[in-house]
Amino acid sequence: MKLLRLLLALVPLVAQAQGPDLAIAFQRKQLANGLTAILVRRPGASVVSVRLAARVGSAEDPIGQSGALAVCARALADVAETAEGTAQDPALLEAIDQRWDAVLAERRFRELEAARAGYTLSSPSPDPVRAASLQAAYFEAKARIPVPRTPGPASVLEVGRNLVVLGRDLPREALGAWCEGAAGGLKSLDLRTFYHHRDALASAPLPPALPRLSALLRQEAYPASPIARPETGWTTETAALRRAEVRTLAARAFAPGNLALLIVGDLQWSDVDPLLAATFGGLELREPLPPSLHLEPLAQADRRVFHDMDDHAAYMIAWRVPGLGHPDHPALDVAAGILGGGRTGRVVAHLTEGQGLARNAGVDLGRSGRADGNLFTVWAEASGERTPGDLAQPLGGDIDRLRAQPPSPDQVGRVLARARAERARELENPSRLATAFARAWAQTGDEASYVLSLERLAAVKPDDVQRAVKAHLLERHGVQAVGLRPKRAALGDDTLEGDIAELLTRVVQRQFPNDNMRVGDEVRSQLDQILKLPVEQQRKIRDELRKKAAESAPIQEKQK
Amino acid sequence: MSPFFPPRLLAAPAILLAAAPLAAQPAPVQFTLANGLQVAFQPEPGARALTAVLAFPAGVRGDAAGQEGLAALAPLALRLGGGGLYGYRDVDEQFENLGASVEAEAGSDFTALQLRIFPQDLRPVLAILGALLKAPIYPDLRAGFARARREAAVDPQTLAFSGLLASEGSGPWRKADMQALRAWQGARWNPAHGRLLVTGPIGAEELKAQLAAALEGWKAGDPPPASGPRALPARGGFYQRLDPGVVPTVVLAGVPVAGEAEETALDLALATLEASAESKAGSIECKAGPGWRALRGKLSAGAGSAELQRLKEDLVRLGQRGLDAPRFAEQLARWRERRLVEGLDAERVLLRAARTAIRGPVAEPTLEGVNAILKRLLRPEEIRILVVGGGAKALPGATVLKD
Repeated sequence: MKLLRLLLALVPLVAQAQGPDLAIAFQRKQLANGLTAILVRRPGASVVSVRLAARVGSAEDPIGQSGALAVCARALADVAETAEGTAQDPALLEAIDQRWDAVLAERRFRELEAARAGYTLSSPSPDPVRAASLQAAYFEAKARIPVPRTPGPASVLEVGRNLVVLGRDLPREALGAWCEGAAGGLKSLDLRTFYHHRDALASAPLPPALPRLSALLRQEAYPASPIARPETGWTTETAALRRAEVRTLAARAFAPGNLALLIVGDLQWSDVDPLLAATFGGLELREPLPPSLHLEPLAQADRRVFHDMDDHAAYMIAWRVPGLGHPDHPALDVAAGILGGGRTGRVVAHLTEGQGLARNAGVDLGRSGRADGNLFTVWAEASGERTPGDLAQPLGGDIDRLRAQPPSPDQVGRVLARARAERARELENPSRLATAFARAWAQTGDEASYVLSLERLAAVKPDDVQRAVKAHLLERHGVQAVGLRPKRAALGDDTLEGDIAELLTRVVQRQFPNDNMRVGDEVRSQLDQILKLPVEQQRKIRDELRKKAAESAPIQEKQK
Repeated sequence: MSPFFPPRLLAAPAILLAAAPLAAQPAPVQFTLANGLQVAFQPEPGARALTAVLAFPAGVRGDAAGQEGLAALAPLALRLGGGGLYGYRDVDEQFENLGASVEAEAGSDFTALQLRIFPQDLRPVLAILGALLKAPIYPDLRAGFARARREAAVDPQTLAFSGLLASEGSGPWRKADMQALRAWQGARWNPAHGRLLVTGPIGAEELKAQLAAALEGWKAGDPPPASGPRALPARGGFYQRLDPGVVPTVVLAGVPVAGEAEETALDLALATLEASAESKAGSIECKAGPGWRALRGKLSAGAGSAELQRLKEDLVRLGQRGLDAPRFAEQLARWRERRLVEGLDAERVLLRAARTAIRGPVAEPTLEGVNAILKRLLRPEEIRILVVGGGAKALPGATVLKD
């Protein structure tokens, strides 16, 4: 242990969660360079689950460089997976850097020229041959770095707004190679596969409509905060990332003081210590990037965003709520469970059964950090031809009931029982345990946030739930996202929207017979309003439009 | 020993032992209840909860003609209807109050229920399970259909594909009625032919006593029909199920599969298409259902049948060429990883053990074996392409499926 100066020598902590059977026994120590090591012993286990948790996330991406940590984490994960931690050919990587910088310089020159000329869109390159040749040179250099292997089912990589977790489940004898690779990658920070990941992220297809709507909702809730950016960055910014800039960020973001290594398996410190000394213990002490704090005043006005969905309509309403460290967080967690947890959640049962308004519904408390950036989101995806208007009222009604009356002790107990069942699963499955523990540590830097979470949940009383809902889910603070079904072109001619669009066009055409432009504007404007209404109202409007269209038909014939 | 309970099941606890987190495990125990239900129990003193799988050798490919799809519905219907004095809502609440869970699973040749229970709650949970098995209440199928879809997180496309594979037309869950479900369950979920696999921190004698008390009265009925896996007619083609409530943006292209070898071969092979940019049909992903494997693609606006054929071409090419050695090696490594990860989860381990008991031991896939299966299954006359949704007009070239 000469290489390791233990700041805290072997602190055994046993949490008393709900009953002795769900207690988590773990041991923690801190290396001289600030890295935290946590060991959860599982005697007899043939598989070791190892996770590297970093107390940073996409919220720390510098302005104009969104996506930096997402790319960086992927490149680091590659190195850990292939156990090749040190740079093998720095000259090759520098050559790619130079060629990419040349591509970027040409692109910026072109954009500047376009701006000078008064264009807002990219203009063609003044020297297309040179531009193509620069691109080709970049791709040729990039191709000399092997394409990274697609992570397998045993690999873990998670990049959130305030967390990075990477790791792997592996046979015990492979742990040394993984640690060597991961520590080597952190030491050199050469990010060998940087350009492969950057280009893949920048050209990734759009996510499905529901996550897109959710992202818009977050941006509306946090309009000026970096936590509203996508974890993988804005495409144009991600596409322009430079390896040198990202390395500078990574040096502080992945400084040992921001990292925890979690190991769950049949190991003791006597097995782990030499491994730590030879790998992570050798990392240089660096000043870590401090946890970010993004304060943003709460807007009071009615805010909503609209988005076209792929198929079904959807509706979401969200409130900004405090993070894991706040005393109200457990009560909000219980509220989320009562509304959307399991098969008996109020929102789930209410909307998906009975009239079958929704094909799916739920409540999401997000993955908050200690302080900020959290959203309490209630969402539903409409069934069939139902509209967002059909969903908004019952969703709001479920929240209102929780504001007006505390939940029953049974309902609160059910949430706790579900949490206990989930904890039991985690305790029996090293992989689940390692990921959940690492995730909680990355978000808070505090083991207690995971270990004591059941105790904190158990302390919540029905009145606490009502008080937290009344305090944080205020009606005037709710932000809404309205997902509209695609318009007529995508739906075919016999749908409700199609009928309304056609009839409306006929009626409006008669109002403005010689002004096609105005007809188009009027139809679009009215249609947007009509499609937000509940489906029953839409049907009534369709019937009225049919009558109007029929009434005016003879006039049209006379005109002809 | 019962011929329906072959010594293969003895391998199940060995599988458990291989993946169990604790080194010194007590010896596995086997016993038979009075109604003929065979129980294999692996005591696991270090575990926090009991895990159980109740499996029957009756899957979607064993359904009789005219009753296709019942096997996919029956376990869910049992779960979603309730039993005895418990309505489905009571079942949900009771299970959630206790932190217990029950899930249904169907495959080409098996159906199963999976349970998780805290040991102190075993008695009330078994009481509910006993009621479900002895006196099932089948759900109002209209409501049950919606619940089943939600619970199984099944989208309309996946559901319709199951229907296409099962009966060349109707969604299997749209045809079933209470009488058919009752008959199916009476014949197929017979305790004398079932296998109950349990692990957890409880004594064998206590488990035996509680099982005997809770499942008393669940009587063995007639032997199940002797029909083996049903051969599906080769009806490759392009189908559309019109549904004004669904926008036709998703296409599924796949084939029926039966058994572990075919499922594994298709899983390995389709993943190579998913991972590569080889497909001309744009972003695609692998989908698996009971008795089928498919690629799921996204339709661009105004797509025609030519565009849909590209998915089929991808599959046919894969069948003709097979996997090359490097791709197979990569997929085999992933398959091994998946097995390793599954070995950490008690429910998956038990389910695999139950499948092994029904299907026999699973050998590691070989390149030659996988390619032979691909060649046999990925033929133009076998590949079904399905689009769900749209109004009155079908896409050009599509055979319209009717309920």
